Amino acid sequence: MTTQESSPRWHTLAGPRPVRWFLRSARSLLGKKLFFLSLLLVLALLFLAIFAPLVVPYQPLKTSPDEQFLPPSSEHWMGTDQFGRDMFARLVHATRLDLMISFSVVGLALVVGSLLGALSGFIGGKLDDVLMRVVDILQSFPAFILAMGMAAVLGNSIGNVILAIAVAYTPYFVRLTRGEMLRVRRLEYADAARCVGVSPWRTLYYHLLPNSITPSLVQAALALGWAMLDTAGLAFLGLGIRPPTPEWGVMVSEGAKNILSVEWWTWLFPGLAIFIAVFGFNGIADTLRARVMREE
Amino acid sequence: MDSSLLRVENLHKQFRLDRTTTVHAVNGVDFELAPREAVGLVGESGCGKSTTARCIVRLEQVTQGGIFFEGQEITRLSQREFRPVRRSVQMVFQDPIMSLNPRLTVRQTVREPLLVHHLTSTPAEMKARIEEIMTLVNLELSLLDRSPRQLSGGQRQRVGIARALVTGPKLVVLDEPTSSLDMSIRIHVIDLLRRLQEQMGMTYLFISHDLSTVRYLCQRVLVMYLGRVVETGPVDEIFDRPLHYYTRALLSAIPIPDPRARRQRIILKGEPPSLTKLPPGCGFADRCGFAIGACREDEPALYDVGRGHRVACRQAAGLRS
Amino acid sequence: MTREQGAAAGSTPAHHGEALLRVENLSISFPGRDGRVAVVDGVSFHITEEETLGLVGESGSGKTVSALAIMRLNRKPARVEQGQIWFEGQNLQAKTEHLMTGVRGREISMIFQTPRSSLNPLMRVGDQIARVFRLQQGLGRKEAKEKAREMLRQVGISEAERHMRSYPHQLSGGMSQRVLIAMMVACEPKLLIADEPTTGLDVTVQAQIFELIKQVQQTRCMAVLLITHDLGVIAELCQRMVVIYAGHVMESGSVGRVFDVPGHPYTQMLLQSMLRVDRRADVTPVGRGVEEIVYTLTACRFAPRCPSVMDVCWAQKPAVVDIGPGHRVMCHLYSGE
Repeated sequence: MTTQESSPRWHTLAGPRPVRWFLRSARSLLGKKLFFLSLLLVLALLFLAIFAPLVVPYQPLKTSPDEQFLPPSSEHWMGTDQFGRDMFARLVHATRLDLMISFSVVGLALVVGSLLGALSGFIGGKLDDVLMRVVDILQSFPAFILAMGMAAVLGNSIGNVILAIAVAYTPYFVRLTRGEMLRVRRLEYADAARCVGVSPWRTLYYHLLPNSITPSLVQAALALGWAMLDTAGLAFLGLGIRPPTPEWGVMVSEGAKNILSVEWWTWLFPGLAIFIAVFGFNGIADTLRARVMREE
Repeated sequence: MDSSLLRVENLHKQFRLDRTTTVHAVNGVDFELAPREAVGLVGESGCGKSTTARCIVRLEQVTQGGIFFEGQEITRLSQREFRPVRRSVQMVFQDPIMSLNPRLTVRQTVREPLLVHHLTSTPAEMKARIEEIMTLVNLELSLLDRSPRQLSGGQRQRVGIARALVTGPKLVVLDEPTSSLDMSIRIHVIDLLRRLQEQMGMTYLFISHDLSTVRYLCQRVLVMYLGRVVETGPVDEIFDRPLHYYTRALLSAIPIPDPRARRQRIILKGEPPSLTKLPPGCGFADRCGFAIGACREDEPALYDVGRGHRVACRQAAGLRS
Repeated sequence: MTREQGAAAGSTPAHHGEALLRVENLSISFPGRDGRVAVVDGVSFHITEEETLGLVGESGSGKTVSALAIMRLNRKPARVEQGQIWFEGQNLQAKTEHLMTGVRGREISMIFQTPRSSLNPLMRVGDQIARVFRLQQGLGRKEAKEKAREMLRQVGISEAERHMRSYPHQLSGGMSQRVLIAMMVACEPKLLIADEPTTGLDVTVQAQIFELIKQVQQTRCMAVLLITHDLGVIAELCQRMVVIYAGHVMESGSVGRVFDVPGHPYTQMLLQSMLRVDRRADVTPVGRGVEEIVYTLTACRFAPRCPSVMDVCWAQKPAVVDIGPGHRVMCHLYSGE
């Protein structure tokens, strides 16, 4: 009876008793199973990312003109692309890059956004007003469009991609943390800290900030999935990461040319990889959110 | 020569809600607290007792008037200058759940005042002091590593008390410390507070709407209405021989847990006026059984009727003689 | 064989013509860590016509849950496991939901702790009261409005016309509670259940509300089930009282007797910790200040805190024993010897 707010109440449907029982247990088991599955997927990806060079037998950038478009076989588990490069090798190396970008983006946005939001909520006044207007402006663009614009301006490099997407995400964390800070600031333990004689900075750092950051942390888990999609999206459009660097979006973009022809392995596997990564992160984020809600 | 521990002089506090509305929460409050006494500050919601308390501990800025602690005027001090004074002036809050940081353990909560005021020099000293205060408030040491969520209401409130007392304050302001507790626990906490006061020689300013508790714990009492003190004096004197019409109504309204007690109840008509628009003269005049025309013109001062008993009403004061 | 034992044996309740409301052996369960737990466990009490019964208990005693069960207002996690509730000889548990709506508001009414959340924030106060008259008594618009105005005057709201047009958020706590009382007694119910009606209200307002309840009760010949934790209120307003702790009825009897010669150690503890305003109370904190309630205990649930606890208290639930006229206690100190 804790996570019923957001999900459809399958188990309250009318129907023969065995059906209702089945649906009810499916619901609670699915909750746990979802988490384990997501965790498994993410851990598998992390493993691949870290041990990439040890896992793959081929070089991701090595071209081989006479091995073009080979379908999946025991030699090339996922086949080869138009330059004869082993797909599996490229995919695994791309995992490295994509995960690194996602974590960097979210890490940057979370840290900078939360600090700014907390300070803004705590200090208030002109600083708060100005920052909120800046946030409003940034949020008036859809995040992806904003990232696109920035990437186009900054130029195509990994660092710029990270920066562009991080800037697009920061406003959300600013808002979330600021909101919590405004609430927490009025609570009695904030007064109690003042009364004890705790300095304002220590109050902020030791008492208020840890209690304002929970929604941002949950959002960060979700943002990992989005960052993945945004990176791939940018690369697909030709911004940010460019070929021949192996990256899932780049690979999808290259494989997309073959979508109507026979070489299905060139777009299916990278697409599947994105799907698995996003699914995994979202599953973890969802469980985190449910746990947090239950605690409140 | 100021022998009092705390002296409040002509305290006024207004809150500005917006350009046109101002809430006049405290409108000229004067009183003194001597060392080692327990004084109750009572009244109903909106009377200004909580705001007065918050002004004393500098959680609110005073609009007008002065507060003197051990002879030193404290309202004009900066927060940094006031910090050392906080060692000696502490507050116990009403809601045990909300007044403790949910992310800190009991140990961390109780330890913080010691850290902030640099009261111990070695970890061993700190440990000893923490354990000493825990024992003093009847909390088992095993609770030190628990978080507030894992404690009962009475235990949480005791942690709040421990936090307030760990610096060895001279004045403790208690804002309805037992209102959120169940009856059977309340008496334990009240009794604890009484014993601690005697043991540590502190002064209590006990804010409450529960007059039965005030009667038990305090020696003197101040009754507030609409931001002013309407009657003050020794507890027994005020409760047994109340003069002000409001004090009488207030006391008569409280049910006594004794089926044989006879009650002559004074029911007040209407409601208190809004704090945003204080009526001229005595703010209680519209509901008062003693009111005459002059009451609505000048605000009455506190008249001394002997035995330390003072009342802000000409008619009521006249009743004495 | 006492009335309690007869009822527990499953026979039809004797003398149901005497008591207006009779709650018999009510048990309500909630989900716990290892399955369902009977939070309210075998609660029985009765109210006769025009009497005021006080149900005294602290937080977690189950008093509100039991009262809601009378009106069949308990919601999902709570489940009535057993027990019967007889009102004027009819079993309320057996009625269909449709018939219950005829009982609620008309025969039995209830007022709650926070009046403002019981009122519709989007409707004017006058309309809400008028609506009660239209629905329950089938009156026309004009008539209902007139009656609503009359009700407001009866509950002591001056300037009835102005307040008819106010919204709930514009009223103070005391006024909202009066409005709620006006709505709830509009149809002259035979029983009014008041669940801590003055929590959060000032003392002087509390006095006003209780005077109002007394007055309304007398003019309408109502019975009142007053749920509270305040023994002072019980002493003043009630003729009989029921002391409930952790879902068990510990003691019941006339107010005079229970205050004079409390039988149960819990009642004694409460009375000994009562502070009063007419003199400096001579109190002694009794018991160990332990607060946790163990609902899975099927024996005496007061055992963890009882200063007179014996071995048998942990093993077996005590029987209900008469210790005086109409005065009953559930405690091993009185059974057996």
